[in-house]
Amino acid sequence: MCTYPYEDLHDYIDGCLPADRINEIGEHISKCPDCRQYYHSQVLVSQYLKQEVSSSIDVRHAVMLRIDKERYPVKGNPSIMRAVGKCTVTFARPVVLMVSLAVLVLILSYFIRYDPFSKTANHWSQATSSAESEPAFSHDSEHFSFYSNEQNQQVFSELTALFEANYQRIARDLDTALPWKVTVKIWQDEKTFYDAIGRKSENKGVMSGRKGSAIHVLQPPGGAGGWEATLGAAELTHIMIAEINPLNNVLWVHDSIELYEAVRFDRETVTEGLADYVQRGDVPDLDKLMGHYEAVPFGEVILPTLPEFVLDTFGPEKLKGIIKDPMNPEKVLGLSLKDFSRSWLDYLEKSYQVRFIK
Amino acid sequence: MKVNDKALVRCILNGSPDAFTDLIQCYQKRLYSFLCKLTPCREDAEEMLQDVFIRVYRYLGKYDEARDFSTWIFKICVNVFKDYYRKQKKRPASCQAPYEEMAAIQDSPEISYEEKEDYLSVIRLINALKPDQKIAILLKQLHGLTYQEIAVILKISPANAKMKVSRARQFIGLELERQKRRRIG
Repeated sequence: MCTYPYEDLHDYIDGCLPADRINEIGEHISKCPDCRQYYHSQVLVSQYLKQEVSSSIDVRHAVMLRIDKERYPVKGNPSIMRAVGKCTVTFARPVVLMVSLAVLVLILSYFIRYDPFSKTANHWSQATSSAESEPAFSHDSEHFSFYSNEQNQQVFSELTALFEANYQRIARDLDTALPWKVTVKIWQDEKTFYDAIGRKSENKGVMSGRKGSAIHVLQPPGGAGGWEATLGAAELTHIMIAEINPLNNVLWVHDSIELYEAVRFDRETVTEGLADYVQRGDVPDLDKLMGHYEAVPFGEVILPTLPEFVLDTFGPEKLKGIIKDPMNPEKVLGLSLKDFSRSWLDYLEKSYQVRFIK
Repeated sequence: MKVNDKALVRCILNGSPDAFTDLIQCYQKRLYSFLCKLTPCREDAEEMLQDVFIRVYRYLGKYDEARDFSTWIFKICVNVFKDYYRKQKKRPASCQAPYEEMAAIQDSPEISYEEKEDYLSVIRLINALKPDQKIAILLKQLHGLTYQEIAVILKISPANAKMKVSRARQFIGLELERQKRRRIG
């Protein structure tokens, strides 16, 4: 049995020896059968430990459902923090990526204005969390878990029908399904509801809100009935967009789909808005709409025609593609931005019976 | 601490829980590999992995930025692993899950019988190591941590950490030699 010190062999394995010692020990291993066998056993150990685990794993959903998302209250603007984080991540990569980053920044400045979630997140930070107590009764449907302080079966049934119908529509349009049940908390008391969604109670008329991945709704006085057909649709839309691409923070994508799915526009209003363009001899500008729609005439009115156009012309898969890759709608649709704009205007003319003076 | 870790931690602490999904994405594969080598039971490994991230989120406010984040998260992972089996009052080896790696080796026609036997013996010997020795050698050889980092994770001195890795290597090397001799003789 060779008496060569194990420590030297281990240092040789760890690669923490000067070059002359490495050569010396390497030479000894090549000549000594005992040490060669010992070294071989360590190679096998290394091989086994470094062997990749065959099954892949993703615990993001499971973990996010189990954590208290309000543990760390919002400080400053989360969208900016997030953007800083992302930029830092990108800068940490090799220099070769710097060129592509510069291009990305140009595109970002073109498309992004703010993180749609930051608006609500800042409101939520004002919430007095002490007011929110866990509702006592629950009811499960296929895609939702409802919670309420009242055991009112009619309310549960009505909301189940309403939410499931919205779910079917939005899931079909976005070509996606949530692998978990969405929590819906039903509040009877206005103050508690506003506290739960982090809004001030003077915001009368708000009947639903989102906090994290939970939807909160305010029960109309008198119990059941009186629900808006699109109750919770906007919140559900954002949850599904986040499910498809949690990093998507492009305003026009979020808001256009929210407006489209929440049916806050009607075709008559869109037609009126487009007629105004015709009267002024103007044409809707896709670039401006994607960049800063609130500054565009009738921007909020015509914005939902973008997902409508994509769905009618290309189908849900492409809309999902844009959510996944919001920086490259041209790539997703296989069109240049100019052709995208032209096709969209043609669609508006045909669909809304208007004729722009181009 | 890597720059991206630091940025993500700040985002989470500034009230952006969505940044936590990015953090999970960064570490879940490494931690899962680590846990799968620590325990042959995949279900246990997955459950522990979830517990690790839940604990990371809970204690993130107490994390000291001056310290290495990777070491901190592995420390939590090791604690979760130890607590898991302490609570269940069983040893990882008592879990009778199939050893996928062993099955893959046994089915491989291009490896000689002797090589297969050696490799399978090494897997068995690694799984027979004392928990701290196993953790130490995994952190050293799977994740390339320094003895200083292993010492922090196991709450021991760097010299002690080096000794644990050394003992684990010796146990495997000498035991494999003994088994080979028995096989031949």
